[in-house]
Amino acid sequence: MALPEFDYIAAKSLEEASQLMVSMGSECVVMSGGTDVILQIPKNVAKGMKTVIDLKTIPGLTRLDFVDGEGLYVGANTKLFDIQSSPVVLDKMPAVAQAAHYVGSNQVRRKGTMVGSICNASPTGDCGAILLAMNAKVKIQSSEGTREVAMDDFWPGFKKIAADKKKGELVTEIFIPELKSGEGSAYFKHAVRKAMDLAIIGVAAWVKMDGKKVADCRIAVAGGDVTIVRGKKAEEMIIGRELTDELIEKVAEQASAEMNPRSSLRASAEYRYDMIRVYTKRAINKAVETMKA
Amino acid sequence: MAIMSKEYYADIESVYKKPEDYELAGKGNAYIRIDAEAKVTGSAVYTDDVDLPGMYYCKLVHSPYAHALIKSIDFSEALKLPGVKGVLTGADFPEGHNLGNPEAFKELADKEPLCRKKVRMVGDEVAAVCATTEEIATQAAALVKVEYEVLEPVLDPFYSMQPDAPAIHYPGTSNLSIFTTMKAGDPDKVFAEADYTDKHYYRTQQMVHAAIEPHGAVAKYENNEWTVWTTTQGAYVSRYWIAWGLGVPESQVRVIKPMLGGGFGGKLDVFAHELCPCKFAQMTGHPVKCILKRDEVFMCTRTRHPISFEIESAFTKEGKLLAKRCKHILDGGAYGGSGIAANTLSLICATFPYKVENIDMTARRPYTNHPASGAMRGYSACQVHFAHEIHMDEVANALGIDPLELRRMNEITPYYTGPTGLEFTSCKFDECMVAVADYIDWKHRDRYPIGSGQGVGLSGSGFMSGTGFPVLVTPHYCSSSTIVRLNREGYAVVFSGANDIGQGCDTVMTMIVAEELGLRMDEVKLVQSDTTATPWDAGSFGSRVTFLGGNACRRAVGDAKFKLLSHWAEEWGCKPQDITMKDHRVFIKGDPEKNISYNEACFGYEEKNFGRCVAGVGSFAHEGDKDIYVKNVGNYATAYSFSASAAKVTVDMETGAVTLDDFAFGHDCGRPLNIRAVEGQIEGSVLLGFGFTCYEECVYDKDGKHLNPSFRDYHFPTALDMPKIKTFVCSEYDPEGPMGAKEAGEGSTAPVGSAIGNAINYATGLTLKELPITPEKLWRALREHEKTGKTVFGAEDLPEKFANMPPLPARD
Repeated sequence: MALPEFDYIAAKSLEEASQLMVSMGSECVVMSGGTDVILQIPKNVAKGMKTVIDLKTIPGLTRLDFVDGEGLYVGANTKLFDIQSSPVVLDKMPAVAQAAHYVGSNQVRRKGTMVGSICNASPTGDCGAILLAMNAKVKIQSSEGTREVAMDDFWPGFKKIAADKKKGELVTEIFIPELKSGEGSAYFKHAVRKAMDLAIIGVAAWVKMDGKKVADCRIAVAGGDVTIVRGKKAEEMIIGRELTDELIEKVAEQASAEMNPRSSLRASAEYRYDMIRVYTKRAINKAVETMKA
Repeated sequence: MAIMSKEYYADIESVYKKPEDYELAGKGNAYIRIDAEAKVTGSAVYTDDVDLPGMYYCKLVHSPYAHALIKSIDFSEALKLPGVKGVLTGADFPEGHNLGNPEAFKELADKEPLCRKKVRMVGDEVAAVCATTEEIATQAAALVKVEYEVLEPVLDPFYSMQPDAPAIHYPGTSNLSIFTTMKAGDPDKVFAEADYTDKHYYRTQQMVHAAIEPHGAVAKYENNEWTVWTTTQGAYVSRYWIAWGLGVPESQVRVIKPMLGGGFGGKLDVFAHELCPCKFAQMTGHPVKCILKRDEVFMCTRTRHPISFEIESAFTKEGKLLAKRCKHILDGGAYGGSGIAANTLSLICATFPYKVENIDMTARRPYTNHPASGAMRGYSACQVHFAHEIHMDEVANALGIDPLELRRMNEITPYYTGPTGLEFTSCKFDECMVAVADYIDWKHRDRYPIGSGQGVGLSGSGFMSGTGFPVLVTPHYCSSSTIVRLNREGYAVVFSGANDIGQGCDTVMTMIVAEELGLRMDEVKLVQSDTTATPWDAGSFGSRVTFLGGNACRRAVGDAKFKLLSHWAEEWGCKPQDITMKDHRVFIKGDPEKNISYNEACFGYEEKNFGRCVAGVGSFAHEGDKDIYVKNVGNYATAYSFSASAAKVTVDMETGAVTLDDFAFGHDCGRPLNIRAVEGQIEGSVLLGFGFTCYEECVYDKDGKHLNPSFRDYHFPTALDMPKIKTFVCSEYDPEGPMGAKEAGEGSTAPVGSAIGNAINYATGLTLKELPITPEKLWRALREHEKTGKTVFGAEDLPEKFANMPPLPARD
């Protein structure tokens, strides 16, 4: 791809990147792996973007730590490939490794990051749904300090994120709470082909069981609305009830009914509705099957 | 029909190496591709890698409308941009010098280098700009203001043929670019009397070649001569049309084909992106480059013809195929070019791989305002074998006969001559069919009950091995020539016109020469595809390169070898046929006195002949007739390849997703000269066929705008989607092929779609008559089946459309 002209700054520190963002505002974009950002450069340059600020060169942002009793910490420069192939992630939260694995291709995953993926805020992004279902939190840092935002509040609207570029806010880390005993999670992406494809829809489920009853549940759907969203009515329907195939079928229908997918070249809304139903069912079942003892 | 030149070449062929002495041909690991190192290390030079001092860049201005008249073109803003060096419109090219493909059908050439008054597809080229950088050229192209009068787009090929449809090219021609008939026997009588008759409809979609290298060209003008480096599948044919489009003699145009990153039929025609740099190079005195972007490749080059089928067949109740009637409607898109061969190929393939004596077939290729359809790997065969081989299973099931046995009962056998004069030579179809059926365990196919979500399917096909048609008008219909020079320093040079487009013919030509001369592969130097340096070759298409080019190459090295051995036979008092060339030596077996090195042999020959070197010239022709493209009488190719496929699929009955679990491919390519290349071709063919069946489709809106012209939105399968593939090469030595070889590049794509389609049909209990079978389309069919019990899906509108077609025009 031939790129138009723009300035490129490899930031040395978060402070530097943050200050540059404050001074440039909408005339800059921030990247780490760049696998989403570079595709959008022609369009962004046409809209007045002049500078790409690269975070890749900032030390200390490649964290991938699982802390017992807490959960998984993923840094802003941590590659998707490292997440997908990490033995500890595969062991402790395989659905997260799977979600990372769904992105693009091997080449893309060796460049791209999970933080970048959620900051791209695509409604069909591959990593967002599992993070939302597992109640992950995002650390946002600027000269004014550090704050934590729940995934529930991270996407305020279509292609929007809770970090404010004009204030120099950067997403530096994702935290995913560990799965405790009786908890399980799963994510399925439905696409036409097995690699190098955008999702038609994706469904993630996190389930906490109390014996045969569902103590708690979070269902997140990609491709169901303008952002990745939760199926809250479906969650209400399942929580506190004894898990049966009939119930899962009804919950899946509810999750589908409360979505608002659009028709596009990729798939009709009608197909998306039904695939949300099918994969909600499959995600709940798999979350329960893979539950921590 | 025997090959007439055989007698002429008899002496030369008498010194050919005997099959039992082959050291390279057919030996799997005896040699590697000669381009492997360059391609693996990235040092290979493709067209876009050609960079010349002072080079300018050309960008094309495309029509946003599918059908419109050009009212005015305003370059004033574009010319204000610093760095812009020139602009072009259609008026800068000689009027009436339209671009086409076969010289013999020059009257059908219909593409102006740049449109003068009318555009016929979205993307049609109306102007070009030239600038010092690609960026400036891109900006300038966007500043060109073109005013159009928009006309009604004609997107349905059936509507296009109706009397009230707007004329796309020539009024009063039903918008037909070409129509073809193929008739034999007395089909009407047979249909009236047969136990079983039927009528079915099918439709295939538009797909593209998706070669990874986009089209492009670099042109230089110097000493009153153009040199053009271009992404072509046939340097000589490109040279002809570039010269014609510029209105200059062919002597003043040199075309060089650098490395090519895939062709698949999409790089046979000549395009605006080749003509415009030539014109700019002459205007500016600078070399000029024009490389298309991916969306331009989708919209402005070529696609695979979508075909609508009406098939009628007559069988005995025991399963003997008695007669076939069919009508094929090919959406030709906006232009003809290499597309005009599609009709004939569709009809010939409709008889393959079976014996059918009574036929009544027609193919019409109406123009529409879609992008131009053209040649594509498995030309017409992929579409035809999808429809006709799904049909074969429908017949088998209606007659209660095992689909495998129905195929075997009717298959072509060696040396069969078809009713219209197609002359088959070697044929291992039966072996192919049995091998793949055994592999997939067809006998126990009941272990996947119909509708269970799993199923297996079979399919068979045939293809022409070596399209004889030479595209340009040539002496004795010659389609390939080669020159080989032997050098006393211990090597040989082969000047081959054959166009390697990634398929590996450079390696095969080198191997043939090395084999005959007993040299190592790296002792044979190849000069390839350059109209100044290499002799005539018609191009890489029609599965002809190994067969025709290989034969020409072998005759050239045979000519040199015969001269050399005749000299030594005289010296040694023996016959040339008694002398062997092996391991860089020339000798009589068992005679230690008469054993010299290759270098000494060449030196001695030159000593005797006043320093004149040993050189050989060879050519090959399949003597044919252009009439086959309209009347379909006679033999189309020198030989025919045969293939069979077996697929095992799993269908996700909730989502419609198809997983291809296993795939077996049997191919009869004669003696495989390079087994790994044959396997590579077959694996690539399965990918192409799987994409055709389940993934790929160009989608248009109601105005004819392409909605998915990118690799993000146009899906072909990835490595992860591919099944494991078991290849069976079921071969015998073909008497006419070079070292016994037949084709292995195109026929191998033909049976893939229908094997997968048949497997999906058994897995779902439905019959799907339209491609592609995408997850959503299959999901829709499965849901509707649940609700209404309907089992046959796709092509529902075709019975009415075929019934309402206007009659065929009279043939002049």
